Amino acid sequence: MMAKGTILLIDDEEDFCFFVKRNLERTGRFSVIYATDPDQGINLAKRNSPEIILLDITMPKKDGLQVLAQLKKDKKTMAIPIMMLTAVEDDQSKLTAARCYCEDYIIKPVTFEALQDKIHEVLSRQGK
Amino acid sequence: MEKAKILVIDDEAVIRQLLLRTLSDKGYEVEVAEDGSRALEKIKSNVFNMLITDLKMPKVSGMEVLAEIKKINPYVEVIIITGYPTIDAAVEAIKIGAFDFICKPFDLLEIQTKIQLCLERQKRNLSHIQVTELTALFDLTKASILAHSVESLWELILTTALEVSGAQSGSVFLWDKQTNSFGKKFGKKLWEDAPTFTLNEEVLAKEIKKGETQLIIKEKDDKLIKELLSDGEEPNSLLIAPLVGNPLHCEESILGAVVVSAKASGDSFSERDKMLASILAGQAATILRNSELYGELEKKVEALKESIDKLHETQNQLIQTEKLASVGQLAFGIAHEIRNPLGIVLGGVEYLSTIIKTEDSDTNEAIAKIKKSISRANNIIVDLLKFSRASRLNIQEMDVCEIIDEVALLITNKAYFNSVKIEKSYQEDPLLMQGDVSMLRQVFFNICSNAVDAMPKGGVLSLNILKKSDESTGEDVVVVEIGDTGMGMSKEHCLRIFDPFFTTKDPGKGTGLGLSIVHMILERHDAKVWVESEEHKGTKFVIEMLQNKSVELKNKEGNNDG
Repeated sequence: MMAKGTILLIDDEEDFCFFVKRNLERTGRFSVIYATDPDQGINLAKRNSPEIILLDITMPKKDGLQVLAQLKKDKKTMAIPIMMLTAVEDDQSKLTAARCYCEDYIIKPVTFEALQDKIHEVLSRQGK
Repeated sequence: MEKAKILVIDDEAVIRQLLLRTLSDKGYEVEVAEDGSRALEKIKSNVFNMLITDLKMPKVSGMEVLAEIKKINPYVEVIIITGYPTIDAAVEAIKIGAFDFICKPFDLLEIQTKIQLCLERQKRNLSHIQVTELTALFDLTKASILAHSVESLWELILTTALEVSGAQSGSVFLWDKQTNSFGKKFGKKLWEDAPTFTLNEEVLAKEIKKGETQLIIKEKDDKLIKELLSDGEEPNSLLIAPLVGNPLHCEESILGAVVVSAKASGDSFSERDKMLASILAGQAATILRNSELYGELEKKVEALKESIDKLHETQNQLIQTEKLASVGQLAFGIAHEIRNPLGIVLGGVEYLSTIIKTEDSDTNEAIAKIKKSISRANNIIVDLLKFSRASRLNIQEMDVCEIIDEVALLITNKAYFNSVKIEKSYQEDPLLMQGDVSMLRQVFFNICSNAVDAMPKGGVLSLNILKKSDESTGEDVVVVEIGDTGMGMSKEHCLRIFDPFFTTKDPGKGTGLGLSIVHMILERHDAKVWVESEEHKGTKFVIEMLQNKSVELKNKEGNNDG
């Protein structure tokens, strides 16, 4: 049996995090940690080196795209694939995300099945 | 009442004295002249109501005085007295315009009666003529207010000039400030065979530029008249009225000239004609100046109206844009706000459904219904977002190469995953054109995304940008070609590819709206798009867009497609 991969979710919506964590962990393939505060999220990323980061954009303290840029600049976290998971759907955000080497851009609401597929897709690209 | 002025011309001093005394006693103002030439001098410096002249006099005869006075002022009445009456002389005198012909020796009472009659006729004639002339001048002022064009004003001035001067034909010459010479001219004759003449315009211009604001009357033998008349028959006399807006700045304010000729009566133009024409010229100049000012005013009012209209239009557009923009912004905001809780609901339902894992059909049906409703709510949001984006074209200058680069970047991951190589070829880089950046990005992204989907086993996505000029209009056209080496399409598919809800993808993989939105956006850009495809070889989308959009297109409102 494969080791459980850690997924870090950074989203200010506690309830959303709750269900994503439950749904993903129920597959038995992942363990999910989450932060509703962007800076706390960055710290978790540095400390836990997750396999993948799911990142919201609209957050009160810090914009998810800023978090993305910060993570991609940091040597400790730059190699971690990041997927945007957001309700924001505009070209400018998509472009900014793409320029920061974000792996994918997922629009909420997303079905669990689709989310799982996307995660597998990214991970398989990483050779994992 | 003003005294009537009478000039008595006779070489016999007795007669002069007799008439002077008698007529002065009767209340007339009487002057005397002993011969024709003295009489003419007096006539030129004084205004007389009537003349009583002897026929036979040394130097200048009574008949000559008669002819001369009729030239200078045709309304002066003349009674001829003679000691040598002949029928021929009487007939000629009456023909020239004498009022009566009296034989010497005359009865003083008879002559007094005739003088009275003569003065009455003179008074009547004069007042009639004055009324006619003044009416004509008044009509000119009145009609000038109603005249709708400068041309009709000129016509009016010319008609009035003919009327007051009694001429048969005439012309107006319009001064052209640009060429500093006469430009347009209008001619008019009262009847078909009225004598006409052609003037040398250069000589006329020179004459008017001299600054003489007075009228010029030229007689037959005048040297100037020979210079002025370039050809044709010579009129018996010519009356030239320069029209000068401001006499102090004659050179700068020349408006034109009115020239009339050939008095209908066959007479030469009189001093009176000159005076009337002078009034006319002054009035005409004022009218023309006013009309010029009015024209300028009208132009300014027109310009003002135009800019107000434009302002209104811009304002309306702005309001419309603002309205659409704020509705769009609202939609954008609402969409994101709703998507977050919707994401939670979806996550929650999915979580519950895995936990419950029941065979109970009611529970499963309920879960399915919730999921379906979430999807419905999300579709509403998608439409709202579409509306917020497509509400208006925002045409601006953009670099089409940069947009294709951005699209290539957005598609890189997907292409990589499908083992698709991206090949770019730009004829010019950067290539600036006018268009809506975000809309066109959407168009290119959509086509590229489809192209990558069409190559599940890998291939080449080619992105070419060319520039050419339209064969028929010669306008610069930007051509974007997006090609793939995928499975290709049948001709039937090619024809339907832009139809809404047409899709070749598996159910759930595409809405069938992507390319119809592409088509709609390109249509709004006045761009052409078509597909060249061959089964098992690949598909190529060709988009032709005008490099410079018309103003009309820039202002084109997008339609609500949500």
